[in-house]
Amino acid sequence: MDVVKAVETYITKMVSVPSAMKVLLLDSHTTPIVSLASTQSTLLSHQVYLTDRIDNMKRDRMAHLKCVCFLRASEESLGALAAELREPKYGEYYLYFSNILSKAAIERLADVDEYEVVREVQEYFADYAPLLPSLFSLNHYPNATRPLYGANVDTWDPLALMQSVQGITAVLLSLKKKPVIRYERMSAMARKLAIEVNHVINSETALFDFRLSQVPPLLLIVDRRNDPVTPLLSQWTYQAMVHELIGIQNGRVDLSQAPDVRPELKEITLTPSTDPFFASNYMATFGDLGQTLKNYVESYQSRSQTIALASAGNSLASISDMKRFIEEYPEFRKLGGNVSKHVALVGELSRLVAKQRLLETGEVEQGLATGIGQDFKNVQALVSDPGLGFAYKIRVVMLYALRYQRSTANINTLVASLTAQGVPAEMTRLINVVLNIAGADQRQDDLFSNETIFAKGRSALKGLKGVENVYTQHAPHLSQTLEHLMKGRLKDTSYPFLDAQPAASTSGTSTPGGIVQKPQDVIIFVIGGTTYEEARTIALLNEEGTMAGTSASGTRFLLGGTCVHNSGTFLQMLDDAAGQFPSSVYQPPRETNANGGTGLSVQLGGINVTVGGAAGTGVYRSPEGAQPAVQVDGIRDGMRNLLGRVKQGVDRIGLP
Amino acid sequence: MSTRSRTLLFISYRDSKARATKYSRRSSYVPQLDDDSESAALIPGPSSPSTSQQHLAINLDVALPPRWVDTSDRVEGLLVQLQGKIAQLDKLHAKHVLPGFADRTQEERDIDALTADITRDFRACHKLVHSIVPPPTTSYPPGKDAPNTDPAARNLQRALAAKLQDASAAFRKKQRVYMDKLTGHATKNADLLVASGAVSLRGSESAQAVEEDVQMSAQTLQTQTRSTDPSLTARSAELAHLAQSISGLADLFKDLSSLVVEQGTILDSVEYNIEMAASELKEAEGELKVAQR
Repeated sequence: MDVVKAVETYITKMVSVPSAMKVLLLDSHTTPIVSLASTQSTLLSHQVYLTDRIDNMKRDRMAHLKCVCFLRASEESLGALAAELREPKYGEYYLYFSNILSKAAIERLADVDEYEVVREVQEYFADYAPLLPSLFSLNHYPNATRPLYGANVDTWDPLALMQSVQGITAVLLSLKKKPVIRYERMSAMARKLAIEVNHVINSETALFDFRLSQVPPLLLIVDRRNDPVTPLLSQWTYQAMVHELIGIQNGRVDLSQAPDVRPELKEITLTPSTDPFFASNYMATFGDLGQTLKNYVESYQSRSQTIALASAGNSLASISDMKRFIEEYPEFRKLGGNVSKHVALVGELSRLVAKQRLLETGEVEQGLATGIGQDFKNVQALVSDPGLGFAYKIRVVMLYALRYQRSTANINTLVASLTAQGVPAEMTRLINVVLNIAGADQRQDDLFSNETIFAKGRSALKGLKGVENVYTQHAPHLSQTLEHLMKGRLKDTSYPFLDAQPAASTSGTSTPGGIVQKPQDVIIFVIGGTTYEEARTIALLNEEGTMAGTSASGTRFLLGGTCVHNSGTFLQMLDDAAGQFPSSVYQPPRETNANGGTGLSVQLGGINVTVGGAAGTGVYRSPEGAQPAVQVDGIRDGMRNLLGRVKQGVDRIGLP
Repeated sequence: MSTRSRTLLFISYRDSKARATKYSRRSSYVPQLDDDSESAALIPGPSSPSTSQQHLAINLDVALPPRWVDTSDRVEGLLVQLQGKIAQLDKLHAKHVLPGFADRTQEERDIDALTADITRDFRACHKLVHSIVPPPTTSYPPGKDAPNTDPAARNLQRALAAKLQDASAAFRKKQRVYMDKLTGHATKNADLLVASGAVSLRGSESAQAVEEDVQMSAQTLQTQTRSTDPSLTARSAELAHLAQSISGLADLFKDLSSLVVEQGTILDSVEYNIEMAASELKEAEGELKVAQR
């Protein structure tokens, strides 16, 4: 279930044959894939002396080189390849395609291969960007020309759907998994994707002919709209922070905006596979990271001091010390380079944290996401603070609106003060967009309920994050979903199986002490993009899974998404998507208009037990029995505790 | 890690296409020839692989491959030879370290000659690697020549430099281990070697600690037999040779490291390299346009 290793193996196989001087031709889609799983020096060691794009028409003819092509079977790449084969520039051609190749495409290429230069035609299913061993991305950042959504929020753009199906099937094939599929019931797109993936599995039976495991692997398709909160939060762990504050594209980080950065660090690579320090710290919280980095630098300093002393000492000592230095030279240099790189990067993060005053604001965000604190007052204070950026203010109001969707009056007050601060209408209208696209009535699960103190206490995954601090209290909704899954409590009604038949064996409610069939391998795919915070949850679950006796033991997880968001790309996606939708998306959602007892609704917003009706079933899956009691005393904010307790009790009774 | 080969399908498509074109050509140009094998021998058709190879050779290899292809072959050849020589030296070393009463000057001479030979080969490789991309001439402006150098040659140089670096480092380690063994004798016999040697030993890695243990046991055997060694001077000369060889190799290593791509840096990113190639191309185009105007 390690996608980095899978893609790496594919690439190594590709460039190992033939054993001669080679050129490697890629296209815009495969370049980042190769780049993430391999390096220039690895390619060089396999005699790949030239790497270029297939669509670069200015390549020199070099008959002494053999050519390895790794391409997506897209129209552009096939066209460029056909042109190449008509007038071959290299001696022999070994063609690899990143996905299933149609017979028509094979015929087309055979037609133009008049010189018979093609030696191999293979399908190697490395059709996704392997970011971490347990995280892949399809690198689809939606924009106006490459949208994700169709005409409305429930339909796919046809091209995006096709590429998602291809990406997922490639993941399945590269890992040799033939899964059962579950999807989020509220999401029409998830269902559509599930059907399409299943269709490919069933029509390519020869490819999907794997040895069956006792419990089949699970492909769980979920929708970003079910959890719009996670991508809006500031991040406080290394990799997620870098992505949120600076941005990581295909393992590369652009530091050119950082002041006083040394020229060789203007752009750096940041992947665990090539960077041992990053590999052991990419999940560390910012505080821990600082300490580790300090130790790292100290160890570097102590080494260089030895060198300094040695060269200053007498000649005998310096020879033997210099020898030792040279013996360790590559490692030393590597350590040195690595030190300066991480020092520069963490330095830039600290600068941005201070500049954007994230230590103050992060606390409020976490409060909104987890339900503690004086939300409205705090948010209002942030909004009217002239020192904070517009984008940030929008985010925090969005979080407030998502949490307290029914308290229209407060939201309006906040929007008004945004406008008073000079935030343009194009930005403030995004608040309605997020409510329309991912508001309470669009979400399947009660996003904010799992954060009550009692729910936390129940969580088998608690303590997962190590030392809690105020900035990392939020756990993505996905962790709750997976916890339910592991306990066999993920309801068929909320996450139905695509084929009804396996439902009986893995059925939601398990008898206490009865055998729950836990899947060994779970692949989660998030339509609309996943986040590094979720990736961290998955990585920690996998770590925990290697230990015996925990609820997740023995299960391996893999997370993927159409892309990996930070708050910026998430807002951009919403903005672009809204442009395609009917303009009503900019209006306040209908349910919110019919307010009435705002006070009551606000307090209950966390659990969504009361009104319900208009939003349809499934959204409000809280216990019906708890309602009357709740409505009697459920006025104050503190009452959520009680609600949690009631809910917990009902949950317990609810189990057969 | 599934893969699926479509090569056979591709070839069958290609063959059917090729046959069709061959028949059509035959009917128009050489209708009298019917036998497949004869026609293939006289007029190389595109269908049979062996003749099409010749075809290719004629069609594509009009220009000779660049010189660095040849250089690369020579370096690779030398490296293979070096492996053999190093293995031979290993044997000599192993023999030499063992205690013995016979006259060992011949043995020592052999070791010296072979060491010199290997060092020379490394230097030859080093020179060849450098010759692949000649160092930039001091023309003005300095960046002008860069786009002209073949990126493939540059990459080949990097790859060979890395390979050579690995090989030389491995050899240097061997030399050092050998010297440690020799100095081990010296420490015990002459009681002269200063503490600095011991200090450097303490700092070295655990793998060498194992070597030390082996050496210690061999040494205890020798202390009795060779307590009054008359050839102390010869030994120190030998040590000097070794030290020279090691420092020479270290220099070579240092020099090569300027050519080798460092792992984990942006230069090692495949994507970055492709982008750089593309932007260099654009720059060159721009310069051309400027020149045309």
